[in-house]
Amino acid sequence: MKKKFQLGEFEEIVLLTVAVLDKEAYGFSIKEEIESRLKRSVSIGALQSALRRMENKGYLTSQKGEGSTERGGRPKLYFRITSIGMQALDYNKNVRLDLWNAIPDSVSKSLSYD
Amino acid sequence: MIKRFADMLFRWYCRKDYYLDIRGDLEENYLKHRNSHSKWLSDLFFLKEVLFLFRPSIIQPGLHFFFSTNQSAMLKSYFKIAIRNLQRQKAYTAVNVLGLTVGIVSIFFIQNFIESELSYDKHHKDGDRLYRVATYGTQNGEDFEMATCPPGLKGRILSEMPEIETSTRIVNYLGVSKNILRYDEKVISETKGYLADPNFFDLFNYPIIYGNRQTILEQPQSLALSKTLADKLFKDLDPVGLTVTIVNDYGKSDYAITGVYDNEGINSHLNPAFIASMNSGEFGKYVHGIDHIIGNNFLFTYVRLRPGTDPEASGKKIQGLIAQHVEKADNSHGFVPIADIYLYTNSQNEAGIGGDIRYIYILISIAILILFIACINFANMATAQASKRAKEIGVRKTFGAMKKMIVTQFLGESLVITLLAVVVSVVGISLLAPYYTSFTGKEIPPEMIFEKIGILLLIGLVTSLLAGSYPSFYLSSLKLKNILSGHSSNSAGSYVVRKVLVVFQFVVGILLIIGSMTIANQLSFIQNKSLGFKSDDQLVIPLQSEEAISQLKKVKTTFSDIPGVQSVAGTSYTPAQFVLSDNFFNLSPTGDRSESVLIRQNDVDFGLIETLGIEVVAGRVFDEDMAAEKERSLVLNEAAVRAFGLTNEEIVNREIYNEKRFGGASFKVIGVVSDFHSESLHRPIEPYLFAMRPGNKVKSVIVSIDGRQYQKILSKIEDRWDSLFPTLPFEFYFLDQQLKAQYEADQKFGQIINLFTSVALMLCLIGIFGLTSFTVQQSLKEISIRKVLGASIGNIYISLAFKFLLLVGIASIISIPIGVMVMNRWLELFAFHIELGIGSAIIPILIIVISSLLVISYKLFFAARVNPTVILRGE
Repeated sequence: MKKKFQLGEFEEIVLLTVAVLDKEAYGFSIKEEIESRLKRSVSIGALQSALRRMENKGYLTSQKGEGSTERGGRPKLYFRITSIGMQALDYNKNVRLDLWNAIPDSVSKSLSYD
Repeated sequence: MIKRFADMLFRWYCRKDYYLDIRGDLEENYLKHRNSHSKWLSDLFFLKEVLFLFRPSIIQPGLHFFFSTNQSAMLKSYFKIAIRNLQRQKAYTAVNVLGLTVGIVSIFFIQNFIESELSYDKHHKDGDRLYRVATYGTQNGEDFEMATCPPGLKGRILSEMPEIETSTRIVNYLGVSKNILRYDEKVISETKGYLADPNFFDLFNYPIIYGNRQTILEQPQSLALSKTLADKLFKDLDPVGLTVTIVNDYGKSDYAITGVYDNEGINSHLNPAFIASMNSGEFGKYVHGIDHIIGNNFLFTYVRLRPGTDPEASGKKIQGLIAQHVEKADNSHGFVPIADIYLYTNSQNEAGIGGDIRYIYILISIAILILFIACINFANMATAQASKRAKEIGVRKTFGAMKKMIVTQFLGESLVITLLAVVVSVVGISLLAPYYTSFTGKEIPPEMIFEKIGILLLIGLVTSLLAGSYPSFYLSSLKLKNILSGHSSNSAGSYVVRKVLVVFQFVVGILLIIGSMTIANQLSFIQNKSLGFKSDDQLVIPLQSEEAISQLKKVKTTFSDIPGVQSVAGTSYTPAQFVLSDNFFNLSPTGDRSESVLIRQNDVDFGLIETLGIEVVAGRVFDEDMAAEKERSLVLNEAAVRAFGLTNEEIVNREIYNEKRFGGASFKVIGVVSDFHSESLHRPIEPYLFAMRPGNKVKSVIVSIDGRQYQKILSKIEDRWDSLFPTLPFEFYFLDQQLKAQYEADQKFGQIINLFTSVALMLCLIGIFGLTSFTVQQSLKEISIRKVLGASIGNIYISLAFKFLLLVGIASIISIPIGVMVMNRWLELFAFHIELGIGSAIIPILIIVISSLLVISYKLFFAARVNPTVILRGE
C-alpha cells in the first residue's frame, strides 16, 4: 500500500480544484471555485493549512504572482499541481474505482438511486 | 475597527512568509462580503476567518512551543476539562463571561475618560512654571475666587516682580456666546474665540503649522486659527493671507489670517478655536485704553515664573504691590498652576465649563467597585460549583495530583474565562466606542483599543488571579476523605468569607442606588423648580451688530405686529447669561465700602420685566409714559433690598447712590421684583437690578410667543429680520434650552452614574444569584429531609430568606450613613437642592431586598420541586 499517497477528503478536493484552475489557482480563487462547485463554505484557514500541508508533501508548488488593487497591492501566491500531486490524485481515483467495481451487482441494483 | 484588530492579531501569529498573500486573500474575501453585507458584519466575517487561520501550519514556528509541545499533555487535559466544564454549564459560563466583560468594558471607558480629563493642560512647554493670576475677594459676605484679573496688572507685575519671566493676557469677547466666521460662502459659528497679547504662543506652545510663532499676533486685526477650524473653513489650503469676517455682539470686522496652530489631541481649559490679536477691534482698543490694577476684572492673565520661584510667596507679593499704588484694594491675588485649572478650580468668569476632580474620584471608585464586584461574583460562582466538581478533584487527588496542580488547574480555568471575556470586551468596546464618543466628545481611535489590549489583558490576568485564587485554593484544600465519602465539606471559615463578600456587594448596591436616586431627584428638581420668570416659549434673538442695536425700536414694532407674538423687549443679559456688569451702591451719598452692596446690573428696555413675567412685589416697573425719568430709575430684586436691610415698601421711592469712588451718582428705586434665578441653581440669588442707564445698549431681544404656533411665528420673524437687516444672518435660540445647557455637565454626570450604577447593580444581582445558588445547593439535603419530614416549602423559604435579610440588614447599617454623607456633599454643589429624606434610605434597601428575594424564590422554586429521593439516594 502506498501510504504516502493518502489524501484527506478536503485535501483531495483542494488538489483537484488547483488542477482545474490550472494557472489561475491562488487562495481566493480556489476558495471561490470550491464554494461555487460544491456549495459548501470553505474557511481561509482550512484552505491555507491544506495548501501548505500539500506543498510540504510535494503535491503542490507555489509561485509569487502580481498584486492587484482589490488585494491592497498584496501579491497572489499561485499554486500548481506537481506530478507527484497528479499521481496522488490518480492513485486515489483508482482506489475508489476499485472499490466501486467491487460492489456486487445485487447491492447496487437493490439500492438503486437517482 | 474589528478588522484592524483582527489584522494585527493575524500579523502577530502568522508565519512571516505566509502573511502577505494570505492577507491578500483575506482582503479579497472581505471585499466580497462587503458587496452584500454591512461594514461591521463583514468585519466580523474577517475576524472569523482570522480565528480559523490559527492553525499549526499557519502560525509562526516560534509560537509552536506554546501550542504544540508534548510536555503539555497534562495542560491539554486541564484545558479540555476546562472547556468541557464551561460547555456543560453554559449559563454559568455565560454569566461569568458576561460579568467580567461588563467589568472590563466599563473600566476601559472609565479609564479612557479619566485619562482624557487628566490630560488637560499637561502639554505646555515648561507647563510646571505656567500660572494664571487669580483674584480672591469677598462679595456680600461670601468668599469668591475669580479666574480673571484687572487689565493693568500684567504691566505692573512684569516690571516690579523679577521672578516673572513673561506674561500674556487673554480675553474672551465678554458675554459673547457666539462668533460667526465668514469666508466666501462658508459660515461657521464658534463659541471659543479669544483676543490675546502677541506673545500668546510663547507661553502656550501649540505647534504652529503655518505662520511665524513670534509675529503671528503682532499686527492689528491678525488672526490665528486652530487646525480644526482652518480645516472646516479652508480644507487643506494654507489660509495665511486670506481674510475672514467675524460677527459677534461687538460688531463685525475683518481679520487677516496670519497663522494656523495645531490643536488636535491637545486638551486645554481654554481650548481656543481661534485667537485674534489684542491689537484689534473696538474691544482690543478698550483693553489697551485702560490700565486699572483694581476692579475691571475681566481678562485672564497668565505668567511664566522663572525656575525655582515659589509660586505661593510670589503670588502674595502682588497684593503689596497693588497697595503701593492704590489707596484701598479689596481683592487679593494669587497664582494657580495651569494644570490645576481644568479640574480643581471652580472660579467665577471661567473660560469654559471645567471638569471636576470629585467626579473623577467618584468614577474611579465606581470602576474599582465594578471590577471588584465582578471578581467577587466570579469567586462565588466558582465556589458554588464546588460541590459538582468535588468528585473530579477527589479522583485527581487519588491519582496523585498535588495541591499545586489543582490550584493551577482552577486558575487556568478562570484564565480561560477571563481571556474569553477580554475577547468579547474588545468586540464590545469597538461597538460601543461611537456611542461613547458622541456622549462624551472624547475620541477612541481604533489603534487605541489595540494599544490598550495589553492593559486589558493585564486587567484580565489580575482579575483571574484575584477571582480564581479563592475558589482554587478552597477547592484544592478539600479533604479527600470528605469528598469521596460524600460528606459536605464546608469549613466555617469559607462561610464567613462568602458572607463578607455578599455583604460587601449589598453595600455597594445600596450605595449606588442612593447615589443615582439622589442625582435623578436633584436633576428633576432643577428642571421643575420655578425660576421666578417665564422661560417657556421665549425666543432670544441676539442683535449682533451696532446697526441692529440702534434700530431696537423698529425691531420691536416690526416683531410685535406678528400675530401670536405676545411681547418683545430688549435686554443686555438674558437669564442664563452671567451678568458681568456690577456696581457698589449705598443708601447714603457718603457711605463707604463697608456699607455698600454689590449689585449686578442689567440694562434693559421697556417691557422686559413684563415679558419675562417677573413678579412685581412693590412699587412699579419702567413705564414708557414716564420716559423722562427712566435714566435715573432702578428696579431691584428682593435680595438687594435685604442686603440694604430694608423692607420692600421702605426702599421704594428712596434714592440710592453709586459708591462715592465711582462717582456717587444717585438713582431712584421705583420698584422691587421678587427673587428670580438669573443664574444657574448652582449659585444663590444675588442682589440684582434692572436699569435703563443712558449709553448702555441692549444686546438681544426676548420675544414672548404663542408656543402652539411657534414655527409659523418663527418663519415670519425670520422674514422680517431678513428684510430689516439683509446683511446679518438671523440667529435665535429658545430661552429654556439655554437654561438647560447650564446643567449639561450635571446631566451628563447623572447619566454616566446611572449607566454604571445599572451595570454594577446587574453585577450585584448576578452575585446574589450565584450565592443563592450556592446556598441552595448546600441545603439541598436539608431541604429534602425537611420535605420528607413534612415541612412546607414556605418554612424552608422563610429560613433561607432570613439568612439573606440578615446580610442585607448588616449592609444597610454600613452603607446608609456613607451614602447619605457622600450625597450631601454632592448636593452642596447646588445652592438650591433637595433634602435627603427617609425615602432615600428605605427605597434602596427595599430594592435590594425585593430583588434578592426574587432571586431566592426562583432558585428555591426549582430546588424544592426536586424529588427528595434523587438527592438522598446517595446517602
